[in-house]
Amino acid sequence: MKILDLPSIFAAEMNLEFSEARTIGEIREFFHEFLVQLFEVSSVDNRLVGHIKVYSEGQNGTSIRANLTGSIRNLMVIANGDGEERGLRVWINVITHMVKEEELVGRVTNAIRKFTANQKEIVKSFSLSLSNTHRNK
Amino acid sequence: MQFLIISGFFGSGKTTLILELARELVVKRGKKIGIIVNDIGEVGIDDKVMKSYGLNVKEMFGGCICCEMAVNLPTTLKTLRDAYNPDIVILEPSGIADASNVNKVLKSIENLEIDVLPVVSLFDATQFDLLIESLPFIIAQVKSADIVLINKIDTVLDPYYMKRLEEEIHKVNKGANVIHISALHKLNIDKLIKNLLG
Repeated sequence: MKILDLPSIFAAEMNLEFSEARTIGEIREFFHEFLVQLFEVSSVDNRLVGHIKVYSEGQNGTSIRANLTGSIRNLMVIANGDGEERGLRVWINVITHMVKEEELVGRVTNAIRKFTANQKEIVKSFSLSLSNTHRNK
Repeated sequence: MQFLIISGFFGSGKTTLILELARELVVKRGKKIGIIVNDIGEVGIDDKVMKSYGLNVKEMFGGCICCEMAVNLPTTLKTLRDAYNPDIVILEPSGIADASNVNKVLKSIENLEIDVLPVVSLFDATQFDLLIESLPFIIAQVKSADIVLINKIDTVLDPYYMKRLEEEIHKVNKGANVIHISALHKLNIDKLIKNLLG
């Protein structure tokens, strides 16, 4: 397994609008699947030397903290709140020592676009804003 | 003002530990806590998580606190002191930071009385083997620590593996105080606090 000396970083903010109001349970499930997809594209041989961190807030008090490091069995989604949400603001941070940064950014961006497209019954629209001031070439 | 550095690789559990540590220090010791979070990416996540728990947090984004962001540390500390006057400031450096460099910066700060607590380095028990073999800065994180925490012990069932990890740590840092914890399941947090504050 090749480990890079410097970490590669993907950082972005995303605004999600749901097709209808979603419960905390549905939102938790959504983020669970979202992290599985991010892990698939940022890991090598089912291992991630680094982390995936996602934090999300809704207007009705929902907050989501989702983490993954090492292997898929470490996936953790903590959801707080009891109201429904029509949309969420999401912050995403993927760090790995296993994939070069340019490749990581491309892979994760594509994975997010595909994931939201595949979830079209849930996601009405989304916008993704990449942070590009940090780069390890 | 006391200053506590909790270093550790990405995913080692720093944020989870700090949340639990801060809660214990506030509830059981009556301390006022301030937190500085240093993320190397520009999208801060740990600061938002901590703020959602009602903690006083200052962010330092865009670089590692032990190198390019070091010059900003004195200003951030003074801002935190003026705003909250905390008893203890906890620093969560980025996953690649070497705490010994942060200590050098702290020693150079004037007009601010800082009592640096024992340096803590946190490691994920399940990943330690691979990391120490592959990444030179992991060795620096072990070397610079007074207390080495082996986290996520709830996921490791083999006592021989844990003993071997301790031996590996002591090969790099003979004097390190090694404590086994689970930040998520709140195991041995009280032991850590006793080692930090007495």
